[in-house]
Amino acid sequence: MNNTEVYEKLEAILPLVEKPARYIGEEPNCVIRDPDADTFRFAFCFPDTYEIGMSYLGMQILYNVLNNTEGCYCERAFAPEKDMIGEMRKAGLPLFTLETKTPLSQMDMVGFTLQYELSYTNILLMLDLAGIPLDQKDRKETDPIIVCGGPCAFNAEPLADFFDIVMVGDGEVQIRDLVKLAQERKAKGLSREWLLREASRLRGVYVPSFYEAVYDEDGNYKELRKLVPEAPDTVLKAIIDDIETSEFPVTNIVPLIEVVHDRSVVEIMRGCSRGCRFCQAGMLYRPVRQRTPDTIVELSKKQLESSGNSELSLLSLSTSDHTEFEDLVLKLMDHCGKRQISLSLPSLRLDNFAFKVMDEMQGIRKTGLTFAPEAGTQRLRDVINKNITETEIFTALDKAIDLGWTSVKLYFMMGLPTETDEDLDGIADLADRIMKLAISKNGGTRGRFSVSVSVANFVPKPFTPFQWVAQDTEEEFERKHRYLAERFRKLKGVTFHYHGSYTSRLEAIFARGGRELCETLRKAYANGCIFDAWTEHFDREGWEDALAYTGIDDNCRALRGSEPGQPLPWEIIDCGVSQKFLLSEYRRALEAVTTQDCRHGCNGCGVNRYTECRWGGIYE
Amino acid sequence: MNRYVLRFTKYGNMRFISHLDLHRLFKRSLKKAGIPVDYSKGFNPHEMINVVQPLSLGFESDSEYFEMETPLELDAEKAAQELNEFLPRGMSFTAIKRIPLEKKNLSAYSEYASYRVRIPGVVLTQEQAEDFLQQPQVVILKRDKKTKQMVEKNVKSMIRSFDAAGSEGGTVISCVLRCASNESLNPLNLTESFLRYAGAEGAGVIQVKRLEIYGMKEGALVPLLDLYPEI
Repeated sequence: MNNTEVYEKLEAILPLVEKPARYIGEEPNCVIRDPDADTFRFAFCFPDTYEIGMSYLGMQILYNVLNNTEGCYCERAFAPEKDMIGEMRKAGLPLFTLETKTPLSQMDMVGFTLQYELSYTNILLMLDLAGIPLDQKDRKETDPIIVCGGPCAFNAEPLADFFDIVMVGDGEVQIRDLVKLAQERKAKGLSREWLLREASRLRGVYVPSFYEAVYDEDGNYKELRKLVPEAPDTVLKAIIDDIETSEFPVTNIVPLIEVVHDRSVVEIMRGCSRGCRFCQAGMLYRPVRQRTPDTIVELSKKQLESSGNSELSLLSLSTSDHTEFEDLVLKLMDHCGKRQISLSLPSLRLDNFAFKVMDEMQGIRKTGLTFAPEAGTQRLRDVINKNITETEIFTALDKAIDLGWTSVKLYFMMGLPTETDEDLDGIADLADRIMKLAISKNGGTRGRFSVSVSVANFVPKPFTPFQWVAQDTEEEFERKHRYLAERFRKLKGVTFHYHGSYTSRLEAIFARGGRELCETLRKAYANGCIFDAWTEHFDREGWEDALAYTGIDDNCRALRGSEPGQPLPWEIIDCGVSQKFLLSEYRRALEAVTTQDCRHGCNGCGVNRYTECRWGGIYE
Repeated sequence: MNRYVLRFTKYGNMRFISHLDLHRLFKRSLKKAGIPVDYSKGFNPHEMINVVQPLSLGFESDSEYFEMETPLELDAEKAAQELNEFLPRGMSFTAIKRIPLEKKNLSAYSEYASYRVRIPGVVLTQEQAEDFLQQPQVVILKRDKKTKQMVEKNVKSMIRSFDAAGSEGGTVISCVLRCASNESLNPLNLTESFLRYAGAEGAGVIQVKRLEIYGMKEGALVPLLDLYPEI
């Protein structure tokens, strides 16, 4: 099918579906070209809706890199909503790129970003809608090469059957190297096999089909056995030594419809030195690298100018940790203030400077104040190495209430290792004491003050010190939910939110699972499971059936954890941080011993074996 | 304070951009072009911009209107040109005019709009259109906003003209319908009613294009842009 035919079918369908603008492309700053037969065609796919995908900065970064690569044209595709899926199937319209309305099956390479486990069925959906064989082994020479990247690519084993190539680590440089190889293949008419072999020599590239998973007689994962002699024993993630000079987009695509985050975003830092033990991003994105204030201001200016956005946000895992944070914020406030642009500073630590900034920033509504203590007692916070103390919380709150803030949001996790009911009591107690403080400062009445407590279910992730621990069972999560709900029922003005435990269980299965899950995923998709992260679309029965069908139960390793030393499916990947460090952190966690922020002294995580870490001990 | 009205087109896929999204797009274009917008006074200030008479999602248009107030006195042609740079293919500002400040916004002057409706696959005649209009009541089916039920409504008084021209490929309807802030008639609803009346089946995807929005001056229809003298 050619673009004109897609366009014609689309014309007939668009008036019939909700929010048709999701499927038209044509946004300001999107790259429209007229590619010829030699052009290397790349489709960047986000396996969720347009509104979610367009809020993701990583896509804009890689879109920019690929479209600045000679001879390469990158377009986009998202998962269509259910009504659109129905219409497309009825009309025989395959999944197409937004830019030129070309069927995905005509691309040279199709790349998916793996941001969360519950988007996996949507990958199968998109391949299926595109008419591309789901299984890597069924693809022919003319089919596109299917690749993936993103945080979940660090354990892509549950998707091993579906991807030709998995890219691990910082994508900016790596993706261009991979595309160059694929361009060579295209120009010389070389085979898929050639490309896979050459690609597997690149840093951060993992070719799942070069290995087979071996299980022992009890069905426990044993090892990945090489099928191709030259395949690497371990795949080290790709690392950019310096983000100051790395390519960053300044003419971002501006969605024509409202998306989740409708603003300019500049990444100020990559990585985090705090070492929270539950946090996968904190381990995967080491070492900490940052852009200078001047570069950040320059990028912000250009992005704001090219988009007409009226909000600027800074992206990092811990904004206040930028070494020149105050200088940066003052510069940005100056720029934004003059142009009626609001500046949003997520994950801001509430110190004196923060209050000064918030006080000076125009149009800031003194409503929501957010803390993420993650655990209810100091003991458990020490276990997870979350270095926030109650003194810090109450000092900040005392000031915030004086300045007129009227609501506080608190984020916690439940089901953390070593957790007892006492730690749950700590969550309710903290909310209670915050409310009491507000009442006493407000002359004995609650007034408009409110506290909102949100508790997520802990999901143990690969490449964290908690990669070995068991997840709470569904029953245990539910008991804890009831227990806390009972405690909160008695607290006036405090609302309590929690998440369904079944989806957290699925997340854990796919986060730590192995290749046995490929079949589960296939079955779930066949059962009609898609958009699993959406409560309204989640099909529990479909998943229960798929898990039962493939023998994944409560006793699987992904849920019950394992002993250190036992083989783990993701050990084929080296994330930079050593397994030795993770184990030592796990042991310290069990003894509730904290580990210092890297800036106060290097903790020896091992990432500096591969690149220069400029942060270890800078505050020594 | 200065008030400007701009006429713009909405063609192709831009017909799927909703009223609210248009507002956001224009705000961005203004920001990008460096044109500041005045804010209303009061507890909850909002930008003084207005897209006149929301167009149904899926309709194209030759003439839509956007008005705004700015502290700057603009070089009108240059401003329109700069604003156009940001707009996607299918949308562009085709006229700009400075008009007097007043309390009422432009929507209050809108009375009628003209449309061209293409019905592929069905050939209907002017005679059938005349018969349709000559019914004692011209009834459309409309979804009631509260009960969500389809209800009948007599819209005869809201039709100023309704002409059909059939050819081999289908039918083109030209009509002028009420389009005011208190009442307006959707040309697609009326067309569907006409198709039912004529017993026509097998129509393809109906395409609607708004041609012009009119105010009234001395009993005659006047395009909104021409209601005001140039200032």
